[in-house]
Amino acid sequence: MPISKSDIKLYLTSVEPEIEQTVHAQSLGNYPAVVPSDITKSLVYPEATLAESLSLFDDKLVLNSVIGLENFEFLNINFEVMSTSPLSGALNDITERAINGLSNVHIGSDIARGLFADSIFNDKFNNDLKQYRCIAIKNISSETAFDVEVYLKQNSRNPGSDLKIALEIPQSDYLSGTATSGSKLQLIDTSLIGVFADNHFDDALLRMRSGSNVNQSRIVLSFDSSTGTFILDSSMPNVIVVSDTYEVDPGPAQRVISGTVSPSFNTARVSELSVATKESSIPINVNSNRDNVKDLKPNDVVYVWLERRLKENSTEFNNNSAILTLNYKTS
Amino acid sequence: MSLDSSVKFLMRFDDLPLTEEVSSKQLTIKGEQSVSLAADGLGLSMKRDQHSFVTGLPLGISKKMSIGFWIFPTNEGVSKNPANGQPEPMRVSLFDFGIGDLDKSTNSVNITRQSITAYEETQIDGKNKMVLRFIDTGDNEFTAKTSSYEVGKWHFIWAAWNGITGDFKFFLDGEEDVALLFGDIPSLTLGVSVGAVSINRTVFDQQHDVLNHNGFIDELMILSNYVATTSTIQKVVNFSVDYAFDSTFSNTEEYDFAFLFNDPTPIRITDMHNDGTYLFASRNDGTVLRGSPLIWDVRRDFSDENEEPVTKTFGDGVSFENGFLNITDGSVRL
Repeated sequence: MPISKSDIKLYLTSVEPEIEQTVHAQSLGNYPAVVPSDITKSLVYPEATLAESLSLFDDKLVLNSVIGLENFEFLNINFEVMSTSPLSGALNDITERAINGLSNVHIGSDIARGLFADSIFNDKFNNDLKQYRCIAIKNISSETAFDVEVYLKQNSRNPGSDLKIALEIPQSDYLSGTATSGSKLQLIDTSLIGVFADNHFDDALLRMRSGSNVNQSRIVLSFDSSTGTFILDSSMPNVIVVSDTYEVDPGPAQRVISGTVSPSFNTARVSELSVATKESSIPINVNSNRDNVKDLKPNDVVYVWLERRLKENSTEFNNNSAILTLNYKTS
Repeated sequence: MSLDSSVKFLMRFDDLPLTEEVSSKQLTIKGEQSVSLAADGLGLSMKRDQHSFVTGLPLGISKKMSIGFWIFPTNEGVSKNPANGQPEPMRVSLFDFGIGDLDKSTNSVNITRQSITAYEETQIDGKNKMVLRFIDTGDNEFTAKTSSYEVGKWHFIWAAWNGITGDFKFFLDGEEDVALLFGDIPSLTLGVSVGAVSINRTVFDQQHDVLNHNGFIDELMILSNYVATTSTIQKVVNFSVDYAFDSTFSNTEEYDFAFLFNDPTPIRITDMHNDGTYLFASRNDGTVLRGSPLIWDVRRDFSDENEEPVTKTFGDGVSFENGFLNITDGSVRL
């Protein structure tokens, strides 16, 4: 079954894994702030789905549920941004279609995101009038998105500001496996001997999927390729034994201490910062260093760094928008 | 380009000369010879005294077809029936497909058997309706008419017909339209194996209520298949015919995500002046701030080693250490 759009989510990032990020402007790298018990938390924007299709000029929309989007007044569906009356109930009035100048046809089950200004971005800029954020693109399904590239379909609509993006790939992609032995501080999987380099999984989150430590997670301190051994940052409650299954989440991104500090670009795992148009889209296989190459496999993550810049002579521009696009193949 | 074999006719109106993409046949221009294309590949600007045509198209349409196009309509009012004086819609030409060839006497296309005729009907409220008329090989006629739509903006029209099952669907702006239908949906073949098309010269004879179009048309396509899935139509509307019918893109998807933000006006202090009474600071937005110099006069940065020689101290318990002013026993005059 091909991957669907609802299988790809954009999450805020957080300094620690599995912790909800409640301050959007603190989405500054490290781990996707995905809460395993509720994967709707820490989404960059809350989501719902359309119950009915929407033609180019319809001025009413019907949502399957408005939970989490109550009182929102801007929606993003496909690559259209529209304004609405404060959302309440299933049927809602659209006050203006295509405020970003891009009209779309929308069909039932399309994802509608509630947008609010000054969430992910705020008015704190550095002396160069720039600010930075990091978001995580995650495949939450069991299907694969092939040949993935990322670009800005629409940049800032304000001539006085612009956005640039860079992709950062984790040091390690998602892995699942079965322990061959272990202890409370180690998990050994001999099938990994010689497969990955030493320390390949450092700082990634290892989570037990079965056994007496099920759902326990720890940060990987180090990985020994010659023995297939993960050293954990703290003890599990019980000894890890043969046949215990586990998974290792994709590794974290770099983190900056403040949204006004630039991360490192143009490194082994971080692309150059660019305006990334469709013609110059960024493939996720940054510098050919990615384990899973061009494909976003189940549970894989790639990070997008956003640089927002104001120009010296720019003027106030409310409800500005930009469109980030993933282009991929379903087979 | 690897268009699906069911795409039998495609005019994108991107370049001159006007060329049909599947057959690579060039259209002949009749009437006003200057052809105008809208900027950014947004279609053909139709003119009342101009039409275009091409013959010998290998359309291969039999019992199924779909047709789609973008239209930017105008409405110049309704006509008056000369017999009874009542207002009635103007019929505004759009295009015709059918069996036809070149009439050498007029040097124009002569569509001897119409199969598909498209035209608009102007409404008295300033809106228009799209009309598609189908005629099969048995001369059975079937007409479908959309709901009203506003002029002065782009609309997307899509119609799909299946003569085998008797299904017909009309889509206006991507949504299935509750179309008015006249006549039975033809079940016989349209029988256009090799056909002709005329754009902006509907086969109606010139009458009081017939007018040629002066709006825009874009991405006119005909398929020999019944395509009525909303997801396919969504691809055509939101992206292009390529995303729906070119095998290069058949498994391509795009996932779009918007950010919303407010851009403030950057504020910088461009100059400062102390006239002894007030401190003035000018901003890049033209605003001038006025403040008390007293606060500034007493502002000292003791991490600056140059402050020490100019700071008057009294007593032995005053020292400058590690960028701090330490007062343990004494006083300082600022």
